[in-house]
Amino acid sequence: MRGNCLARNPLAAVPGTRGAAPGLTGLRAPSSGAAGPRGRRGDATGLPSNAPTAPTPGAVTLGGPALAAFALALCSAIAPSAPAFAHAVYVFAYANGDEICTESYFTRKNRVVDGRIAMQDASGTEIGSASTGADGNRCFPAPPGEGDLKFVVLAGEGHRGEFTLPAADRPGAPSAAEGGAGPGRADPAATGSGPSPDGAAADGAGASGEAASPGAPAGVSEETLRAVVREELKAQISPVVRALAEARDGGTPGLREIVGGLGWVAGVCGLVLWLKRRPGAPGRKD
Amino acid sequence: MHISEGVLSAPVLLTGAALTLAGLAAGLKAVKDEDTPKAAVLSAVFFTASLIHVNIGPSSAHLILSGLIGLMMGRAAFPVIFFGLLLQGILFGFGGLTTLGVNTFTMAGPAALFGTLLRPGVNGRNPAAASVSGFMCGALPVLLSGLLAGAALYFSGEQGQYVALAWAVVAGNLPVAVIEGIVCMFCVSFFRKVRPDLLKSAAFAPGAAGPSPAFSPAD
Repeated sequence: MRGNCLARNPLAAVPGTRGAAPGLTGLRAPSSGAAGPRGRRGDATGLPSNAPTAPTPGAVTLGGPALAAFALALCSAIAPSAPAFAHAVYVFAYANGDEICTESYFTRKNRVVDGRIAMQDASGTEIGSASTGADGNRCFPAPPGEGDLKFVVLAGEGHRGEFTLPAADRPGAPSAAEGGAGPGRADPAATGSGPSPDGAAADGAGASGEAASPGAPAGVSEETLRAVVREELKAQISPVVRALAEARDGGTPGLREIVGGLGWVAGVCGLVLWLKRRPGAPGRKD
Repeated sequence: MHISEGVLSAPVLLTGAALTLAGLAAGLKAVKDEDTPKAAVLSAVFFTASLIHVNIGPSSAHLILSGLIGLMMGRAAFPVIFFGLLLQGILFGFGGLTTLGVNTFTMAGPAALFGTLLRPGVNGRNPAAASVSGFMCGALPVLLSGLLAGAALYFSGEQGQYVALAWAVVAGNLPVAVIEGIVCMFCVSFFRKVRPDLLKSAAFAPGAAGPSPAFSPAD
């Protein structure tokens, strides 16, 4: 799951200042790899997504064969690879300390008021639900266990949105604390005793050694220092994580989508007119 | 009004798809060559109108303008709205592909019905009656669409009595219906003055109009 990098890399970057660069590149990955959680979402819906394409063959009979054929082509071209689509109601979740906070909204300013948000574990069992409250924001205490968490918001009148929080993004996920094998994460024992004379090994290990060494004489253990820095960085970086989570899940339509859609309408209209053109029509000679 | 994926049951989805299929077949037949650009423009209008949000209670409603489309296109509201919804589903994430059939019928059915029924009134001689017809043509499809969406949710196992659910939907859509009615009323009075042909030349072939068998053949 791409989300892993989101949790792992920033924290793996703690020991050395140089580690920040890998951390940032790691952050970028989720936005490009949005297909992961969405793909599953598409499969989860009850019906194969080619169902709505059924109308078109019948429509080919007369009048708009081009439109029908084009719509069919469009559907069949998009449906199989379709990572399902975001919904008109959006929800996203992020770890915030020991809690998991969710935000539900229709548009950025338009929050889901008094909707119902449910938390499901990896097997789809509901393990908690609550009202979204007056501002659409709701925090759950982090549940025990592991695995992905899914948040489903029901905002009435058939509005439904969901968001999957990867296991690695859960609060206190082991990958964040111990599991990370990021570039800056050298073996603590080696950095403590190792003089690291070799230039080749100095890259990652030397950086963390610098960070740890000045702290150690002051009576602070390296582990404590790591914990403090980790906490601090987590606080600093959580808004970024939040923004990325929001960007990854599509968000509300922007100018690009609007202009693109109008372009589609104009293009299909032109196509239909072109294909319906009669050779003998006035003003047209073929 | 855009029902999301994963909410409705399979029978409801299939029923909606079948009804939309019938509407599309009838609607595409009704689009004459010269009406194609008008249909495209109305599709674009429908596509963008949904971005105008109105905040109502826990939900968020938006303009649909289906009544205006029904008035100008009659049965051909089906392909117009279908294409708009298709683009909205793909680009905006409104609704979804599996619910395309249900959503199309929910919005286009009432639009075609009321557009057909109220057309004579809109084109009548009396301007006041035309305005009233225009208002109704904007408002009533929204309410009926709401009821249909409520029915789709009810038959998919949404909790609660249908009557209570329906009332909630109607009450929730009432402000939008009023706004749509006003918009449609102004459009009608504008078109009557400037381009009366736009309200007359639409695809209204004689015969049963898509979902409204009550419409009797004119000639």
